[in-house]
Amino acid sequence: MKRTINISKGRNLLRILTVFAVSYTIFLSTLPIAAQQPLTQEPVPANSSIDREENSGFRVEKVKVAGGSELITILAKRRYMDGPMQGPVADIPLVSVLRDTLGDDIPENDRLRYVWMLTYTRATFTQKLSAVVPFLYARTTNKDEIGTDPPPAVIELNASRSNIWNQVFWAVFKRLVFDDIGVGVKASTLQYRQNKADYRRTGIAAAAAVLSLYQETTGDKVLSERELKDIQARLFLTEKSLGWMMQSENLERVYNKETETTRDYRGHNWELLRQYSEAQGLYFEPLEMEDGSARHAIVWVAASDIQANKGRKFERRFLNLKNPWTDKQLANWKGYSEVRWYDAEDREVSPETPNAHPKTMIPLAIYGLDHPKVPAILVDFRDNSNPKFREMSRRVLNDLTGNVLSLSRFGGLPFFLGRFVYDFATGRRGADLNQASRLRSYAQLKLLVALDQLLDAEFKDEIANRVESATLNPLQNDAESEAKIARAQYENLIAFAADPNGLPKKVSNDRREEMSKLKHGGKTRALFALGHLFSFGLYTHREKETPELLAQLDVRRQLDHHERFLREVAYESADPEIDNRPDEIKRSLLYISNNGSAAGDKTTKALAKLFAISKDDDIQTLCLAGLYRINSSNAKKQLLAIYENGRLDDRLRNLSSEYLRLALKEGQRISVRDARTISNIAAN
Amino acid sequence: MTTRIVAKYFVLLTLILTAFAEAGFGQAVKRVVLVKIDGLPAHYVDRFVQERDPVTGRSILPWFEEIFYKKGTRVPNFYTRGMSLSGPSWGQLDTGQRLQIKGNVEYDRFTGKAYDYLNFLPYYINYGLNKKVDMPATEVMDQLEIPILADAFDYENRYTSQQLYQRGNNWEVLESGFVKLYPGDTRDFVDEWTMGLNFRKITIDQAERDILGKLIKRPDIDYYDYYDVSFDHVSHHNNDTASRLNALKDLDRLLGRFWVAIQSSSRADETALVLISDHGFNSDENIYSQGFNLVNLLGSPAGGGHHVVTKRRLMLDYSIKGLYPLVPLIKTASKDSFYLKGQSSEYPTALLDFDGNERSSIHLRDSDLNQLHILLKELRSRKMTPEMRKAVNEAFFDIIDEHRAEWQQTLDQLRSELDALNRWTISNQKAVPEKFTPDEIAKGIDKAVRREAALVTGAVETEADFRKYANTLKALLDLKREGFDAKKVKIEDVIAPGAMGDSNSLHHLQNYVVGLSREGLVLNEKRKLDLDRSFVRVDYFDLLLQQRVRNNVQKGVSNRPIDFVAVRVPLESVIDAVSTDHRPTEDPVFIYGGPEKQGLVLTRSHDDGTRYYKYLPVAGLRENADGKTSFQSKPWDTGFPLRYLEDDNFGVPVSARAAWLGQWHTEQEWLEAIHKTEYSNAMLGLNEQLDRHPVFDAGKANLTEDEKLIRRFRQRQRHLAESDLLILANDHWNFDVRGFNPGGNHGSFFRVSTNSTFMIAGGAKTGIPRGLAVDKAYDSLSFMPTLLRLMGKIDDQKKPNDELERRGFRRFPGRLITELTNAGK
Repeated sequence: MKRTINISKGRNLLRILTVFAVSYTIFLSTLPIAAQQPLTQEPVPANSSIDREENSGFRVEKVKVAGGSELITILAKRRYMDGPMQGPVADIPLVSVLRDTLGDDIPENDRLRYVWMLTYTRATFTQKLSAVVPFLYARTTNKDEIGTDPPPAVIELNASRSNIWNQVFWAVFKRLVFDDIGVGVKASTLQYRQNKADYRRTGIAAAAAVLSLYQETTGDKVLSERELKDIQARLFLTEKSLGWMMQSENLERVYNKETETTRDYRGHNWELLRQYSEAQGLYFEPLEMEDGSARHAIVWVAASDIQANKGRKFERRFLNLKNPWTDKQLANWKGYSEVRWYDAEDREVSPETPNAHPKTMIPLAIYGLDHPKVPAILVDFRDNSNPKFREMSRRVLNDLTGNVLSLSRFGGLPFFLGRFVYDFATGRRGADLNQASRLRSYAQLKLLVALDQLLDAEFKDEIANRVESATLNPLQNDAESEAKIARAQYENLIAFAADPNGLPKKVSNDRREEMSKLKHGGKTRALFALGHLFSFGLYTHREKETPELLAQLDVRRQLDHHERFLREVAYESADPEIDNRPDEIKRSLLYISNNGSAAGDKTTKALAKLFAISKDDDIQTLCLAGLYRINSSNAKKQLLAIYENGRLDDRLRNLSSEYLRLALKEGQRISVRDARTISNIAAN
Repeated sequence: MTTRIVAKYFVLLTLILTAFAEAGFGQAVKRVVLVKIDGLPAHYVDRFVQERDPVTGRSILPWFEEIFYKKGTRVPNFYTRGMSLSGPSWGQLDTGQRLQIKGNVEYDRFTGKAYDYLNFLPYYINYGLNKKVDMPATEVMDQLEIPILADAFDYENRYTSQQLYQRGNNWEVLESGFVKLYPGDTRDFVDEWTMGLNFRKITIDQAERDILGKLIKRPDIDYYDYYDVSFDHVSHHNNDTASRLNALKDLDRLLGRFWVAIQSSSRADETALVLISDHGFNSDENIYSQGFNLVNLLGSPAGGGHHVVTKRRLMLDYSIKGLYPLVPLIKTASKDSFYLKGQSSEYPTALLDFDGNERSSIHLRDSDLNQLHILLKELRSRKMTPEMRKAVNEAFFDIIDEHRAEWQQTLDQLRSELDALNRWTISNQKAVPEKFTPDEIAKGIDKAVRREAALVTGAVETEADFRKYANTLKALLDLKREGFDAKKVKIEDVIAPGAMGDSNSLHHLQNYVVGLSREGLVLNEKRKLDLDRSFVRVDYFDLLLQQRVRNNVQKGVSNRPIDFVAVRVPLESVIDAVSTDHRPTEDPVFIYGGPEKQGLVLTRSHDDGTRYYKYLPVAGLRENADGKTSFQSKPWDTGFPLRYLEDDNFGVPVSARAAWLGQWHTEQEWLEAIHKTEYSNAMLGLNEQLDRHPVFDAGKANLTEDEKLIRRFRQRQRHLAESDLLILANDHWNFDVRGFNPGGNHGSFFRVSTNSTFMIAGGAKTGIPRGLAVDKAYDSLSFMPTLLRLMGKIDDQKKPNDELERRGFRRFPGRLITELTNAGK
């Protein structure tokens, strides 16, 4: 009995601590970034200059940041003063990326650090207040005062495993605390958390869309193809629970797979919508973006068809629209319409075409095509609540069952089964209810409206207004405000970059944190991580920056680069002399053989494979040198295996034995058994 | 002494003769690694092989270049012969014989049974249940006594992967493939999991691992084949270059791995690496392929209000029922059926195969059966005057009498064939042992025994199905005009549910009965039933070509989804209408591109086996009720189907084209002239696809009467699988209704879809030329004889050696690619 009471007390204490911790974390998260950083470092002087790169549709600015980094910003060129982005004719800054170059011209030691979607900002107090209100699925106010704080990054590209700790921490917290603190607090807290996460997802989706459009532009780019792919891959991976763990050598595969999947969705939805529009007597029109891809489509109805089709049956599936043939509102349409010209075969032609006849076209809806499974209705020109209701459906279900009724999916069999069947049935049938969120499609549509130069201005305004009314998130700002926010935040970011206590210092701190890997082993770093966790982020272990550590950091980063390259080659190559770049491989191998003592086991495997598949003498020799240099028992095991392979050339085997003897002499890490074998070799 | 000398000379002579015999089958390639890639167009591969990687300065596809462009031979003008469709195309590549299987899905008109050649899942289930051993396409080939390429090698000397013409299955491939989803490192596994484990490639990847291992460790294996559908799969979904190029790069690396493994093996000198594909692909990165729903058209009032059977579920990915793996026949009911409302399960009247998607094959129920069905229903209803009842009664029996002789013959023949089949099943029924020794398993004896049992089981089911049809046909023929009381007749007893009956004639297809007219039954002035006014009729040629859509949002895509319709016309119905110099000897193919733009593909075989072809431009072709065809011959002009005259790539000077087209030309002459045109080898392909190619040697001696009857039955089954209409889609259109294929499609005769890949490279002893691009055009009939000739298994006349003949191989009709086979001589 006593023991039970103790446990109960312990649990309560833990709960109280956890509540405090989370509250404190939420509080901290509302503070400006600068305030979260302990001021332990002398400010680094700013030395910023601006380079500009012109590309069709986009302009890129590169700002040098003191201490050896670069801030690269993609801006959309403005050609018109219209639509939701009204104001002075100025390009709209969209995405900024911070590249830490260590202040030199060696690309191998560059590291991409942060991505800012400049429309993504911190919420105002009113917005936060709205965001905690359960079941409030609407935008409330805009952020009018941007202030001078630097914008929040949408992603930190070198995110550590703190992500998983946050997730674990949150799960434990929910489990231990929320069941007892009452529905009101729980629902509000979870509502806020969800809104915040969704808002960030919107920012990430928008950043991914901008980068993808920028990637399609021609000409030299400030960001290399690899960097663009890496950033996009990391953005995609934010949607995956273990995405942060992805090894760098797999990022290109992630990018390729994700791109293929998205284009698959796009094509399927394009065709699905065209066929279903055709079948229902409607008109389908894809909306092309800057890169020529159609990520959205409008469905129109011809005014003349409304009368002609009176009484015609309307199949709603996939279109998710009210029957246009029985709609009185449509029969007396007062909204936006266009006149288009058609020939006898119903093909759209120019008005001057002989025998062309006009049709008044009324827009019914806009759909997002990059959405999984089905085109997602984003704008219904007759009923704003239609897309909103569909977007809400999953959210309401989750909020109600999770936040209010505290039903866990794994809490009981009936709920588990019921939810599984419902999710499966709606998902499989492609019902536009309870589907994946259309945040990405909305983000893309807003970008389309902002960048498009072909759509009618009045029509764009109407689209923008309707998109806003469909927004569920109180943290979201409208398009007009976002343009202002982007410009203001960009100015703030530039100022932050120029401030010695701003971005230069942040980069410096990041490097110092990165240096801890150079000085400490895994166990010590695990302790540091715990310290960081239990101090709620107040404590982060950083090394003191010294020229020696900076030099080591340079080496470590270059080593990372070469390890990644060699692992990629080993994964895909059948014979590097035929299908790869032998000179590059040799360069990387040389680097490993000189500086690779800390290279990982996967690099060891990569070197062993390259040795096996290559016939190039230099590559094989360098592989042996690399295996010798890597200070690990696995590397020596591979070297020993090569030595013991009787089919190999004697020269290579002799070289292996030399390296093994040397490694033994130097006291490198070698398993006891291998050490014994090597001793025997040495004795002979 | 003399005896010894004679014996010595005899031995010497024998050795010399043997050496000559060997020379006749001169053999250079002794081991083959065959990489079969579905839907790989040669022109697309070439585009990227020629493209340089700006970083490396090498080809984007370095292994293609290294293996086949530098060290091997490629045939850039290699085409599928017939439809550019996997089922038929692999059938030709794997057998080297004329086309027998003509679609990915085929239907039997009498029994309604579907042959689904592409569906692996039911096969695996049936294999697991010991009901099947081979994929359905291989079973059909076995029934037709046509061996496949793998049969040229002993079971223990071959390794074959999962494919359409699969013989036997190996569960170890699936098991090992599944285990290997774990890459051996937790971190790597987490990454793979995050990216999405590729379950679809489990067996494909394992086949690669198996082959790579066995190439080194199993020098006794002479034949490997590897089959991969990844490129085809991606190309159906995605039209963007990046996605398709990624799939090509994967293939390039695979070829590299195979090549390196071959070079590391002890038999590198005598091994050939062969890359072969069944068809090309029509995909354009600026255009989505648009779908047109033929099921909806056929179900509409204008289309005849048919209940339509498909073997693929409509909108499969959006259907919960679509998860059911043993795909049954899918019957899409028409709400507009004229006389079969609510009877879609019993009486579907159209069978549709849309696979491949740039083409579709349609079976329609015999139009006369429709008339009988309608009349019988009317007779059973009470609302009829005695005069009308009498007239309807007469009309009903007139139709039966019109067909009586033909149907009676069918019935008699079918019964004797089924009796023979029955005797065969009884004599071949054996108990299958439950266990086999490891040695027997290693030699494939277990599979051979189970294969025989599966064939027997299949024959029993087939017999039962056909007897059912025969019984209804007999019941129909047994009806008596006098004293006929329709109410005493159950319709399903005389009109077989699910059956399509005989094929429709051209006349039927131009006057197809779909229901009663609005006026209902009408009597003419002679007080007989007015058949013209009493029924609604559809001209399917006209209907299909009239189809158009309103959503035309892509430049370069026509608003008309259908390009042309093709049917085989019986020789006897046309022969009188064709002038003497145009007389064909085989059934012509009628191509309908509109009332004024039609063509007849005529074929003539000479005694020496040479085949000649001619394209006759015609207009207004119609067949009357008596089976006689009339048309107007037209001078050559632009706009006729296949558009050879106006094609810039037609290999005849513009001034000489009309004259050239007015004459007969050999197959080779045609191929050289047309293969680079938009419709490539369609002239030959249409004949291959639609004409009949009897498979059994009629003159073969030593056959029992039952064997002859069974052969006739197997041939009948092939005929019953022939569809009424072949519909070809316009460029960038498709007929997929299972889902959407916006990336691209194949199935048509467009060059992009027929131009497939054939490349080969080998070790020093193989004699395969290096750096050779064969300029001449060849088609899929050339593949197998060329490969077997390189292996010395057939001679220059394409006659198999004794060993192959024992295994059932026969002479190959295709041309040898002499640039390859003669290179080593």
